[in-house]
Amino acid sequence: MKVLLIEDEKRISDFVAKGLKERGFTVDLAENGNDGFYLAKTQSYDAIVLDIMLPGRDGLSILKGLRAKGNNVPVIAATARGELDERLEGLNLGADDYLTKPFYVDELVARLQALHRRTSGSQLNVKQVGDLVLNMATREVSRNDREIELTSREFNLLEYLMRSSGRVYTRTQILEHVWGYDFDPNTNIVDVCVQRLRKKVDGPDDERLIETVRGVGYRMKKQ
Amino acid sequence: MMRWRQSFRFRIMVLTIVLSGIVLVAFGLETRWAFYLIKVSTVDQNLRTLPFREFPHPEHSRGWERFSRLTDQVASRVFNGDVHLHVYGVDGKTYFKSEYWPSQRLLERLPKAVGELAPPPSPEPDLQRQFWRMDHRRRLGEGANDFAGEQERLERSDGMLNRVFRRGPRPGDLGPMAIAEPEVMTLKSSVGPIRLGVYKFNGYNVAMGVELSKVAQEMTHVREAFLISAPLALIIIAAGAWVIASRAMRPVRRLTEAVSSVSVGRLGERVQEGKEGIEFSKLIRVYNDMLERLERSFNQATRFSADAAHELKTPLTILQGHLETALQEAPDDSEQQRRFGLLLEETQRLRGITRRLLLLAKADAGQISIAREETDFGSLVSQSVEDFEMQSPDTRFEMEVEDSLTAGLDRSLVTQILQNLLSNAVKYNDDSDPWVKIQARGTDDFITMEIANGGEGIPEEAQGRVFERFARVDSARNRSVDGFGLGLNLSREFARAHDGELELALSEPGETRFRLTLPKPN
Repeated sequence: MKVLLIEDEKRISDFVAKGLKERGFTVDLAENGNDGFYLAKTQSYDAIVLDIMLPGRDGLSILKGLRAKGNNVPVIAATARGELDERLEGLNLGADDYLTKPFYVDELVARLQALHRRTSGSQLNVKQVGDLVLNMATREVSRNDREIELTSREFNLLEYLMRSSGRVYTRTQILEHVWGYDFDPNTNIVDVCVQRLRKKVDGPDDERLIETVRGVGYRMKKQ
Repeated sequence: MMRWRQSFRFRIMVLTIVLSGIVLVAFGLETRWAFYLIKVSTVDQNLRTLPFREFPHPEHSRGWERFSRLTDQVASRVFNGDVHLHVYGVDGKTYFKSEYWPSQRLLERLPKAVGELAPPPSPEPDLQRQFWRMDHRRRLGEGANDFAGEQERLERSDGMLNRVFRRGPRPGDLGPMAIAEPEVMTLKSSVGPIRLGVYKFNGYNVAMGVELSKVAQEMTHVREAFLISAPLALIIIAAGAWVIASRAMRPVRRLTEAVSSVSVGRLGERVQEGKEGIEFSKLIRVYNDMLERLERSFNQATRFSADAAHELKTPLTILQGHLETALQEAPDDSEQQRRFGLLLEETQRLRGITRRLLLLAKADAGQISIAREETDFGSLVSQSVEDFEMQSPDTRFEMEVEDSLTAGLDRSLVTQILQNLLSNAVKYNDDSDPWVKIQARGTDDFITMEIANGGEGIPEEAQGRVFERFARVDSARNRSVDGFGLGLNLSREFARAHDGELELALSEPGETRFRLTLPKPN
């Protein structure tokens, strides 16, 4: 999957590009709006990650220019602003999704994959780690053909951990993603929920799939 | 009553009434006095002129009776009463006393006559009587033409008259028989004060008195008129003062309304200068200037927070991104991995603070934008409660949530309110038997939720401050328990962004209850 990253801040593009490459994306980088617009017009990409605040041509103007020319490449707009009206403006101008800085590369990847699924029409809604299978469409989870009943929080937690097996997630990361918590820095709830999930997912005879990374957080066992 | 007394308008009115009352009473008394003087001087005038109309010989008692009747007739027209008449000698001998002469005691106080004793009875009483009359007319300056004949007769008889009263004349008198100006006085008697004119001549005294009570009757009418009209005037003045004071206060009231309507979101508003007069225009200008400065510094502060929060986002993104990468690359179970994990957590906390700062700046600017979508409030509640049940297995949770509490709400903001309230309820609960009770009801227009918990309650002096920014009920509580002291403040802002309200309904030992009200938009 080929992605164009238009981002002027090198220290951001560094890790984003790196993270994307690690997950198997091909990444072209443009460091200003003019270059980005040129590349977007001339090359063919599966998706564009577009910073809104750019030197030269700004993100919204690039988006407008592309859509005016009938270019329907999926665009994820990323910005430090994140005001609602700007989000609406971006979406009205034809952005397919929206990310507020600071964001996690994981999140970006998930969005890119979702976009790709949507545009390519593929129904890759099933995630699998070992013998654990999670269907995002039906929200069903099974292990060794054993159906596992999960609450919606538990399901979201499992889905999040299964996005990238072997990857470590901190408690705050999990709290924020699964619960959308903003107020309460108390991450105790993550531990409680992980224990419950573990009891349901890892049977007595099964391999333990949900691992605790001491002092850091949790992860799915690497395949 | 106390409120009334503190009202400016009321005080103005009372002051006006008091001042007007004093002026009215003074005016009334003055008028009464003036009226009295006029009346008395009228009486005096008549007392002076009455005797000259008919004045018999001092010892001619029948003549006095006639005179008395005559004066009574005149007096009944002029004074509305009788004339008391008393003719006496210097030795106290009474020659004539009218029927209704009030008292003997009055006599004793009458002045004694000057001049000589009465002459012996005139050999020509008619002539003498004529003289009295003539002298009277001459004094009044009348009859000189009309009664030319009499004048002649008078002149003719001058010699004889001189003879008759030859002992009487004093130097400088008009004539030997002239009647001196009467002495006028007021004396008390059994029928009240009497105005007396006492004529003295040649050893005789004629005291003519009029009862002042007759005058007093007229005074009573004046007083009654005053007593009726004065309160009426005072009422009119009071009403006028009230109206005027109200009108005068109108700009103040307008200003008050304007000032009270100033809120963070409406700092840009100004009070219009009206036609109220320069005093108020100045006040309004000063107030507007103050508002202007306030708005400017407020905007600066808000923009600063917003800018700071924005500026922080880029470095935070970099920090977080690189730490994340480093964390994933660190060897498993290594010191490095733990350090990166810790740093990442702290970065995320920083991010949380930044987000809150931005939210606060927006709240201050009245710009919290809400994205309403059709939301089942009940399911938001139960979802949040589930989380806390999971987190706090010792706490008893009771829920009474009505079905179908659906409204257009910003799910994320409402969730944050619920989480904040629940997390407070769990934290500040009874240690031995913690419980949380949630009731949610709906009407056509509102969703109301009450969330109660046990525990010792918020100290009374701190209750007013729980919604303040960075307020912590017990400063000894540590940070991790209390979040950042922003929770309730932000929750309230979120509720208000929905045009709703969050308030402390009750806090006493054993129960603390918050109430959240969210209107259902049409």
